Amino acid sequence: MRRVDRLGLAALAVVVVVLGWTLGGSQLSLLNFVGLFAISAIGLSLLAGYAGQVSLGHAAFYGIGAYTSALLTTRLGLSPWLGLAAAIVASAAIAAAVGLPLLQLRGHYLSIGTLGFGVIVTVILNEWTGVTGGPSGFGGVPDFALGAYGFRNDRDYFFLIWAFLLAVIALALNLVNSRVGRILRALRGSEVAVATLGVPVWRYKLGVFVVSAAYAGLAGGLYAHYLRFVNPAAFTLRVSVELLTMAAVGGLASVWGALVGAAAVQLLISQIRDQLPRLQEGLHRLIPAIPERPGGEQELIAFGLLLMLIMIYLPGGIAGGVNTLLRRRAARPDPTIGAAGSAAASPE
Amino acid sequence: MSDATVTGEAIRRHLAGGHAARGPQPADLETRGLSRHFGGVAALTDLDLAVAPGTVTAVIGPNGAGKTTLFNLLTGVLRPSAGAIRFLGREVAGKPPHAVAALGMARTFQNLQLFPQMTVLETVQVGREARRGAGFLGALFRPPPVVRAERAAREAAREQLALVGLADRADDLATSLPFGQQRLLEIARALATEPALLLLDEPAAGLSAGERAALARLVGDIRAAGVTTLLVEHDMAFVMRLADRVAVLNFGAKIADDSPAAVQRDPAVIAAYLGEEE
Repeated sequence: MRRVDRLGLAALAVVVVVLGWTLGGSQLSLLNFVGLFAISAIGLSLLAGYAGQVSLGHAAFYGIGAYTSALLTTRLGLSPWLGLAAAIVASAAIAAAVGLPLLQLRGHYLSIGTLGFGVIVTVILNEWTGVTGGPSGFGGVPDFALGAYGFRNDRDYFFLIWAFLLAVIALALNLVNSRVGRILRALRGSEVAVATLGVPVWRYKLGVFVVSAAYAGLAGGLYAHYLRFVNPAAFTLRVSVELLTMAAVGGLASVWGALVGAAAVQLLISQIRDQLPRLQEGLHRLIPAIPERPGGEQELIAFGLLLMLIMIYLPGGIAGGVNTLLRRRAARPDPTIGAAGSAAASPE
Repeated sequence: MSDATVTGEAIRRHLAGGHAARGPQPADLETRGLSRHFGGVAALTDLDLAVAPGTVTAVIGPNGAGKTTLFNLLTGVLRPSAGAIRFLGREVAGKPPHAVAALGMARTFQNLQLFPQMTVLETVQVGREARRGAGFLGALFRPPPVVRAERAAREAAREQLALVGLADRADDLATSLPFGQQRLLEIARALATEPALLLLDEPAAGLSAGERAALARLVGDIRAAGVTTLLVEHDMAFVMRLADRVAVLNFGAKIADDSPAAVQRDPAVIAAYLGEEE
């Protein structure tokens, strides 16, 4: 881990403590979802950003984690901590099994393969009613407890989720700055060069796929106990796309970017939910054909439009944008520095 | 020399006799009947090639002669349509690239295959660290032995960079280097795997005269270090000073295989080269 990352982690830990004691329940609830999505998005950024493997089915691993812990704790009375561990193991194991054939595919084919996997998992969650409770899912998932202290409210879960998030960020930063991380980044640059150096490429691809699934599994396990309820709607393709959007908005090859992306997208979604009715009322007065109240579709349209704008004007994500700004500033005295990075973007 | 007018096939027989005279010398690398077709197009036909340990062997030929195909076959990037490849006494034809590399074969690329967004030092470090196991848990949790091993690899990578004269660019982005230095970086990355055989794919292409001279010195140093070198080149003049032996390909077939001086006088070679260039 680099020094700047250590400072970042320390600063984030301080922010978490301060926010945890000052914010109210509804704000903390929002931040809890930011935390859960950030854990998955960081895993996805390891896979997509560092190793260049885009998964469009990542919500499936999130769901596998959630259902594993929820089932083991409600049906078998397992401790939620063990359930959480099982959630991580189950997601990782299924990723290993699915990854072996899927990772033979490359680029868009791999994305489509993972998309298919995600669809299959959603169908199983919906249709295997005896075990999963079908489309309505099931409740009664127990809370975490530490000795006599039970985790009950949004504040308890805020500290729990964000403590896991801090740990997960630390591990991800370790990984990307390690030998394995270097090889993964190299893979994204030239698979053939890496292979001819003696690297069994598929093992690294499978490894990072399993790690990213374990991250999603952890987030899913935390989610199930936080909501005390699971149903398939939380793990659909739409969630997979949202996760990928978070990783992309932050800037794919950046652990911190994935956190920022998760926060930005989650806040954006809640803002859209708050602001859209007012906007739509105004539009309705101008053009009566537009309905007075928004349904879920308008929310999606607004979200999609924003995504398009970000991809057009900030393709490197927020982290990429910040880097470019910093580089431009640094490059002013000597225009050759950083020219390689921006050459692709500028036509000159 | 008297064989100035004989064909490539005769030269090959002549050289086989020469080898016998010096006693049996195991070839580091040997191909027999190596062929590769792309659909109906034969990129390489029935190639017999022997690379003796500790030598610099060059494979030259006009564009499209099958040189890069040969490298891709040797390193496992492509599967041969037919033929055998023995490397250090083992059959490697059809093995995946990482398995061939693990035996001690490293290469550079004609179209540079550097890693964008990685520094010069990191690039060489990847070469250094490529052959260790995957070790994801070690990478995530970084126990002290892992940290120590990485520090050692970084120091070794620095030394490797110094060998090719890139020590002062260690922290620059690999793709920000001038073209000639990018080629040197690929050589450093390949050397970092500690190969027994180094394959250089058109290392002089696109280099200035000064850079070519530096590259020639480097190849000399590599040979002095005991690394066998096989280089593929487009430019005949460049290899004449460097190579102990030169094999000439034309349209996927070997037309000569001899000492540089003999090859230069070979009429088949002259026809292949002068027929279309310079």
